[in-house]
Amino acid sequence: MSATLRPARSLADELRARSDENLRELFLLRPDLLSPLPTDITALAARASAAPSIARVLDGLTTWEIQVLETIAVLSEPVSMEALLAITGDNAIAPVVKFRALALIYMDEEHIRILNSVRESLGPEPAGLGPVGFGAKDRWLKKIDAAPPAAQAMLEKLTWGPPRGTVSDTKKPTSTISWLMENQLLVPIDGQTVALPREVGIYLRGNKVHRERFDIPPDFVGKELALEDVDSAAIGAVLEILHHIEELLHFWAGEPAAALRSGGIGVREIKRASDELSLDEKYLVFIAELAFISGFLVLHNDEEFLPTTGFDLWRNKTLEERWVELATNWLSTSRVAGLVGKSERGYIAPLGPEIDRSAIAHIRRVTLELYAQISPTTVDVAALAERVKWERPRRAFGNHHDYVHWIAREAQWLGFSGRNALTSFGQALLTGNADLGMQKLLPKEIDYIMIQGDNTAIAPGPLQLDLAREMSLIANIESKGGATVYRLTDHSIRRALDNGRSSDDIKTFLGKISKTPLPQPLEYMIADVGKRYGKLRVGISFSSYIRCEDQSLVAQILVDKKLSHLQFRQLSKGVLMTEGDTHEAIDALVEAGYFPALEDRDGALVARKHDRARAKTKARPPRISVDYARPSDDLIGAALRALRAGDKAASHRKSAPITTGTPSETMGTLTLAIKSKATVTIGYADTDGGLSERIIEPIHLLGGILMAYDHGSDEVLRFAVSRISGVAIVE
Amino acid sequence: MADGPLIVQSDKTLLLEIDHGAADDCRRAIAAFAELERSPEHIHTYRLTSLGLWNARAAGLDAESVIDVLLRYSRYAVPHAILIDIAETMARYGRLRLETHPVHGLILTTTDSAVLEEVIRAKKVQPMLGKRIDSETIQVFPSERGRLKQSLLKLGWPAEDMAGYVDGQAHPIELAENGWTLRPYQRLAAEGFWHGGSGVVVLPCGAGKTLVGAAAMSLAQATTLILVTNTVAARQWRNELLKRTSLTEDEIGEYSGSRKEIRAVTIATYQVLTTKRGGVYAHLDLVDQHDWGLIIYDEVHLLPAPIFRFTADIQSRRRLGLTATLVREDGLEGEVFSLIGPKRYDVPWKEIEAQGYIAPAECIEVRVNLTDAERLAYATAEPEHKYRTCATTRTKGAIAKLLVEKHQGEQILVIGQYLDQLGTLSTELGIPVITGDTPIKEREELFQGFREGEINALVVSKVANFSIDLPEATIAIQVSGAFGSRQEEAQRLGRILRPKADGRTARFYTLVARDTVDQDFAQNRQRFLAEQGYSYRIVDADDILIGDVEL
Repeated sequence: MSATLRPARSLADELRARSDENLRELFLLRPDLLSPLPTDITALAARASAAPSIARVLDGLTTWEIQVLETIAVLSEPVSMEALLAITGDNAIAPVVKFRALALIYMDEEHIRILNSVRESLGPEPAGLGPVGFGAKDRWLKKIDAAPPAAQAMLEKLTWGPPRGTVSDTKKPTSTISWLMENQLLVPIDGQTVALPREVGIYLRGNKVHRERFDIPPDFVGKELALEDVDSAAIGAVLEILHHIEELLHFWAGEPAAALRSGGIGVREIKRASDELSLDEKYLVFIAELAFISGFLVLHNDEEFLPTTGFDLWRNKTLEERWVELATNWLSTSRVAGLVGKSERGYIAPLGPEIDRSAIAHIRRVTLELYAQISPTTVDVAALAERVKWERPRRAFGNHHDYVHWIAREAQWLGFSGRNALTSFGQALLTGNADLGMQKLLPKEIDYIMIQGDNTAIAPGPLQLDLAREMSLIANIESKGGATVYRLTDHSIRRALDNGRSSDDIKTFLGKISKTPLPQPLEYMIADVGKRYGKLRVGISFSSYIRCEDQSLVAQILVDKKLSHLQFRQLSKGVLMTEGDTHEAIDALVEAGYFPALEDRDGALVARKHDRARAKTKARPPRISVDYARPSDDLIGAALRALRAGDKAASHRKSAPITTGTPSETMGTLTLAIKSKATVTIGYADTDGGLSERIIEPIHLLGGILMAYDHGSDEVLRFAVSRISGVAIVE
Repeated sequence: MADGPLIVQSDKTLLLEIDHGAADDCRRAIAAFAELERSPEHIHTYRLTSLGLWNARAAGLDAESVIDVLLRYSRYAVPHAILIDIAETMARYGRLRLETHPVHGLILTTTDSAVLEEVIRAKKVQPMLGKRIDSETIQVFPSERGRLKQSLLKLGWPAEDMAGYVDGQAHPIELAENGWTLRPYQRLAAEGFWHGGSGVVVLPCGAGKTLVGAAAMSLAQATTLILVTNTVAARQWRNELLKRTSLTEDEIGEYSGSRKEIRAVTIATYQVLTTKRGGVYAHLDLVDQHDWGLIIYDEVHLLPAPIFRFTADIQSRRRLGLTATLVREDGLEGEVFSLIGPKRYDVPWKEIEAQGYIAPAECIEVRVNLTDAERLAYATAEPEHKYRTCATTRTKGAIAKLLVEKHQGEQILVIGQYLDQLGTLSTELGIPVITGDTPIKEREELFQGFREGEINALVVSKVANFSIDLPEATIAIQVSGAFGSRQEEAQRLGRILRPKADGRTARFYTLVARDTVDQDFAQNRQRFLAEQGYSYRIVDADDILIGDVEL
């Protein structure tokens, strides 16, 4: 690549001289340069040297690349390749080539020129070296070895930075300082500060810029594994997390988690859910966040978090689709679930506003790409953190151990990795491959259960969705994993009755899908609950009433201390009245061990629904920060054409006269330009009668209207052909 | 194994499909490190616990082989977190060891100095330790051996106790295998204990734990202290030892509320040892003032807390714990592990049943209707009297009578909680009653009569049904008694599970008042029994009354 470039006087010069291929590479490396599109090469060069864009590039450099760049920045210009390699060693060649491709440097004959803005972005004292000195090297070199011991000690102190020292007054220095300043071994910065000149620093460092060269990336390889083992371990996690998200949202649908005033969910709600579902708190926070960023969980009426209908849509997808949705959202989110918990600033809440970190998505991707490099070998997480820090020193510092640890943990929970190695489907998702190949890994669905004498029912594999739904209505889930253990209790049977099933329905359903005969005591239990259910009717008129023909049951309710808060009054034989809410009354009765049914005004049974609360608020998943997407070839192609044309137009504007032509000539030229994708200059009459010259790229022509990209305004505009005074094709 | 018999759940339970071809092999393999939680007819549930894994380590199993077993038999991918957890948990056992050093005496030593650093920084541990010998060794005050083990277990670094034992005062004890022999599993249990030094043997009720104790004594050949739950159990131990060993009456002493004999073999009750006089345990001298070579704890799962306290002081004596279950309802399993020792031997209930050493049993719940008057009384009863009101319904008496008649000629126990109910039954059925008030002498006479077949039926109270030996009872009829703890139920069931001479099925009837709290207790019982793998069936009392049901 560098061979095709000729020496340049400025970055713009060099960019202009680049081949399309070179520019294409630049756009792939720095997609931010494409939006909005610069009008010509000069503008591109200006954009490429703008501080925010440079900072973005530097954020993507490795530790070693930063070291090489700093070395270039501290050497006196012009920097020759020999001088650079003398300090850095030959491993600097690849970074230099990369910097040129990135347009951080350009070549002036044999010499490297670094952009001023890059130099500025590296800070005032790159590698802890001071300002450029002004003494001649042979002069201070002679003196430095003869320096008095006190001066030597002072130099030694400043050698590895910081290169500055404070003195009482640079105008009245002590003898040592004075000696050093006289010999240009120290330079005054201001009234109280002196600094070690850069060249002297490098000399004292033994012709080094950095104490240690980090030109070898740290290793992070763990154990070698078979991909099947990795995948099978991860599939277990996939099944679990899908199930746990459902469980958690069902739980919060029934008992919504209260929102904190400062945003997010409080520690007590998390603890309650974690106890209820027997899930680790940290894991629970993670899946709650995952549901939140996927739009399954939303703050409702500013007071509680509720599942959304989006959650119901998601539940109806296949296992693979469900997983892909979660994994994709996780890849791009800027939220860091690991931050949740106690901190110096108090409790940081999940689903709250405090855990957005713009760098995390980038670090996450870099981390997973490192996984991908060695898959199916495992990563050593601690070493991986060091490697990530090496890969992105400007993004992953300080927190990198936590961040990488959390990413590794979450990847495992999500099934992106298994046993700390990247799974085949994780890799496919990472590279954008649509076929994840998960189907053959997921266990086959089964359509039966086994009921046992202790009233448990076991589905020894993933149960078909419809059967699983019905089962979780009839029975409580006791244990989940490869299999599901259900427990049938009188409460769970009651719940099914509440949902409109009859005891015969339940018996028939269980009988049909159970591979083992129904235990006789279970049949008794179902029948018993069915018999007791509906004996006691709770209905609504002006307040709530209870109706029951069984006198002893009525008597029992009246004296039951657990129900005294409802203050039942007996209206007539078999009818009780309470002022309380009907549903509260039913819940209290259930709690106290009764089996009430809800009836409407006509005395018909009404099915009570459970766990159905959904937020009416629309989910607005939180901010997602992403790196610029890789630009498509088409976009780059169009950009290149526009750029070249704009550049030419800018430099040849005066020498390309616009020929005034007839409307048909104008139309002919425009049609030609559209066909050949050429850029044209047009004379255009404004509404106020003035004539302006515009550089445009015609897109299409229809009914006297030309649609074209206008370089001046950077947008696609409509031009009336009747107002075009003339056209010239830009060469 | 793509189609294995085992499913490893994420909550650390293991589901074993027992009709699977490889189920037996798998069961044997996992029993070494997982606790059997329930064993109904099709799928058994085991649980992985820290103590279970440490017990396995103590028995010489390493994490690698545990993980290997899970992977080999598991039908689906084993959750990775569980594999990691197993490896980490098991790696914690044995990093610390208690040993006897020729110069420094009792020492705590480690293969991992970081662990030692961690534990000696713990506030509770510090006062138990003496001087530091090197980075991997530290002296331990011999008196703190037990408490140190307790503390280390709580810190999650259980120590392996290799410090050895004192021999105690020698005393010859031989098994007298005249006309009987030790069963193979009893022999293995005693040997497993002896090689392990100290620890617990888990055997189901009726599997002959007393004989395991006797066999252990014959291995120790030393004076022995046996701790039992109550006086009746003490007398049984005594009778059994006289019959099965070379010990004579003069060599066996009873140390209880009524007698204070100290002999070469002394049987003491928990109660007497935990009796306080003037704020101090008055009888602890028995334990530490004598040179016992072996201490046997009967029914370890019922050991009261004070006994643990003094057990901590006698860690240099061999300790054998006997129990039907390691599960303690007070959660003190860790104390058993650190103070008595790891599990040295166990064998599943069903396996012993299959070998014919325990009778198979059938459980039948009989649903009794309350009369209308009783229903109203029940409905309006104060909560604390509710159970009694329904449990003592008159109808139960009639049904019990019918059942007793039905099983004429078999050995029958009628079990109940309320003395007046038992009294009435005794009168109505014309059979003797034993309660807590019955003098021991009379109690023993009645039991003897029952054993010898002179008496066919007894009404007994709850008090009487702990640690008594009723070899030929084939029918139990429970008229009242709320579902107690799981152990209590296991005990009660154990009463009728002793091997029957003719191999016939034992029957366990529970009479339950319909639509009352009695029925709720029955549901707990049903769950418990079904979890133990017993068949369970419900019949209507009316059907029995009109003779419309096959029993």
